[in-house]
Amino acid sequence: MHAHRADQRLVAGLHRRDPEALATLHAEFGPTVIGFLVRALRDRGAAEDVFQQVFLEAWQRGPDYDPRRAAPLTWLMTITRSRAIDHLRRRVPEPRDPAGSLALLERERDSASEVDGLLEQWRIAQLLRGLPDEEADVLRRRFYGDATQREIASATGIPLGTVKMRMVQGLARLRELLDAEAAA
Amino acid sequence: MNVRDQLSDYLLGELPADERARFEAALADDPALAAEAARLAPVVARLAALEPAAWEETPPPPLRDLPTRTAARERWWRRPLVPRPAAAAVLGTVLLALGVAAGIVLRDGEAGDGGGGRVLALAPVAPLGGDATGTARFAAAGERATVHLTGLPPSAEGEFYELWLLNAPDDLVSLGSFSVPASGEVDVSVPLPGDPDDFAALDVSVEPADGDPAHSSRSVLRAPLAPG
Repeated sequence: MHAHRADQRLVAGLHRRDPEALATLHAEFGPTVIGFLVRALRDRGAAEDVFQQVFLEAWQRGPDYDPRRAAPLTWLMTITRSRAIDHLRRRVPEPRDPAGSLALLERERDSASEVDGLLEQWRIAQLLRGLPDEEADVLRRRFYGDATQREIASATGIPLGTVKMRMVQGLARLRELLDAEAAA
Repeated sequence: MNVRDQLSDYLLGELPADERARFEAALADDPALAAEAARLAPVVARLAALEPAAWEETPPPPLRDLPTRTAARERWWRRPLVPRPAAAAVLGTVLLALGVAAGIVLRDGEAGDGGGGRVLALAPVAPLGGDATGTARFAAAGERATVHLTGLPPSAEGEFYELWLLNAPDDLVSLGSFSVPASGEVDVSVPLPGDPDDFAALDVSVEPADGDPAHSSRSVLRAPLAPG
């Protein structure tokens, strides 16, 4: 099946408010959204509540989604970012004096900045899922498992030259996905 | 060793100091390699900065108070889709002729290809169908259709084939798209979210990759669907 065709179906389904499109969105991006929220909010229960809000909003705003302005991942993560920041703001007690207000504004800026940094990480994690398994595997072993290419070759039995080739191919493909995402 | 073979070593910081110096000297003489290294280095930096949690997949909670996939399948199955305006008239005419123009419904493996379920013979639709033929098997559980097609022109650039269930010009659903290799022979397996007997025909069309999800009206194969 064609990947772009699947995207077109997802967009068309969101426009029609088709429940199947919501199920696809949940299956495709749900792990990234909940993973990001758990890390950003540091509270699994709160993360699950915000997760529901994110998908409810995606469902409600689906008919207005414009794929020319943002890829589905970017669109959904933008909603996620907003709801995460809303939640973090609600968690901060209201200040009682002007100095407290300024401190609150500063904390909000810091929170938003941290959220943006985390969002970027989980966006990359989602794009990694789009790589061929063999390329994703060497990248995971190198950057998550902290193994050298020689150690990867030794652990997997794959020739060192092949590990190096897959490493470069995986990096190049990820770069293409990042560029495509940024251009959408 | 070819200097290009050391690109990943260089990007990942796995070259000893002397080899790294030699590689960087080689970069100065190879603009293409230098450009590739410059393009990939930021990706390495971003991956190196990922927190361990970002690599770990967290199962998402189910959606509350929102439509479920089961409900989705039911609605998807019943939903009318609107074809291109120009295609509507063509499809209407073609559907009227279905009873005499298309294939034969076989039952319980009569096609001789083994396995259970109901088997349909697809017949070419003029003028594009040519010598194409095909069979479609609906699994007994009604959950999947497996389609075997032969004699189709290989997929042209910018085009693909698409499998449909048709009822009327304004009532049709896509089951999925696929490419046909040079051999002209292809096997396709697609999920069936409901009862195919709710539709009049199974159809294969050629579709342009133009982003329009509607039927192009360029059908190549079709089989009527009769209640089982």
